[in-house]
Amino acid sequence: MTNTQKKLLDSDLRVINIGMTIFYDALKVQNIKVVQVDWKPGPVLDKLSEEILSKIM
Amino acid sequence: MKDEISIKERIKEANTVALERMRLSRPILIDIKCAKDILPQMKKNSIFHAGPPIDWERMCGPLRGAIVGTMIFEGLATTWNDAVRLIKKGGIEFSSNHDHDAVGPMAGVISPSLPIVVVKDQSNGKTCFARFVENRVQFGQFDKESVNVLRFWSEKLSPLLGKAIRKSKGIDLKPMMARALHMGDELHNRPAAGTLLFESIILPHLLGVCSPNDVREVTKYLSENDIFFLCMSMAAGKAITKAAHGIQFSTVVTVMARNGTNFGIKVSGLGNDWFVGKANMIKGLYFPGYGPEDANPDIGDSAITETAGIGAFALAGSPAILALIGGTAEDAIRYTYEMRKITNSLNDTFTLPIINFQGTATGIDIRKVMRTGITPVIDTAMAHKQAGGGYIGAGLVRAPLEPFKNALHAYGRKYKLV
Repeated sequence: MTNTQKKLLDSDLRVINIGMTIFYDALKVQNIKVVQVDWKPGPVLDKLSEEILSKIM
Repeated sequence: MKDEISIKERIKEANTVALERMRLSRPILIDIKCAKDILPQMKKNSIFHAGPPIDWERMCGPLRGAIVGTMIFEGLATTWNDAVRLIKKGGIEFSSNHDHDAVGPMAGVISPSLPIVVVKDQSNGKTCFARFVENRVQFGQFDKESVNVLRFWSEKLSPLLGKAIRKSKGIDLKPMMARALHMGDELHNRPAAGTLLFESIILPHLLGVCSPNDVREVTKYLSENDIFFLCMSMAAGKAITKAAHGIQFSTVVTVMARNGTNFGIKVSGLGNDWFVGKANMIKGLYFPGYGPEDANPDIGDSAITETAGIGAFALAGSPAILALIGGTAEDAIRYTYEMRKITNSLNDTFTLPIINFQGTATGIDIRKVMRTGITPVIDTAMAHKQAGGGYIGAGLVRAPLEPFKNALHAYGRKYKLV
């Protein structure tokens, strides 16, 4: 284990959670500093929608 | 590549115009009039309803119930069987409220003799209309007591309120709505502050034109029916979104409405075509004795509030509504922020103290809905799925993705992108 890794594990956890809020909620009840970033993958679209969106976005 | 840049720029310009028109829209409440006297296409045998167009065979229970109740109110039938016989003979012409610049809550049924609220947009001179809000016929009830609610509105309440509104020379709705949002309303399921503000504004005018007994009756009704102002916020919402409609290349959604079977949208740059998909089920809280097995899918024109940037788009500012629809205050804030991902601006009039007076997300964009897969959130009441079953609860529902997909495909065809 490198010093950097050891330092990370020895320090207080500060977490950025991306996506599912269940992890954010679980860390929050354990009094861990956590920030939630709402994100989810975009939907899988049909070919025509993708084609149109690629031209107008 | 040059063409692609050009279409993107055109969309940007068109949406900027659409949002500016929504911003400048100034809905003024000017009157209450019988539908047949103010809606040019309302015939003796017309029935207008919420959501996209639909025929009797595909209508849900609460819409059918509301239509029968309204036909009894009109004297077109005396019983359910009478009404259905006339409908099946082709004796009634059905049409969507939105196709006549009107909106109605839940089943939203408007008939020739029913008085409706008239709002004029001072920014463009266009007029929009809304059916009043009650808690029986619009949920599909058609018994005598329910029909009497329409009679009370028609014969007693609307003539008195109409006189007072005319006396007032017009009531500016947008500032009232902005103030109501600061008083804990979201102006869809919770217009309680709006109703109180309306009562205080209309009272001096009522006193000027009505007897003390009549004033007592109207103010008693308003005090006991805090949902009343929803018809004003819906009429204003219709005026605001109509202002943004009909702009070539714009991808802004100007109508979201449900008939209890389908969910339909209209898009500014796509003319008057409807784009529809199956209406979703609502997740929320039920009154005692009812559960999800009793509920009808999402119904009503009231999603015009969300389309205009209020309703569930302003949920963060209305924690009190959560007692009716379920969820936590944190959820409400999350929804309010989430809607920014599918809209084009923050409202400069509708602001929320809880998020440092930032504006609500406004101007739903079909491109963003499709790209993110996030569909608009709506807070709404629930009707029993059977005609006559009535009001059974309230909750939150998402618009289905299908109407947005259909609109995007139509956009591609119209603007020759495919």
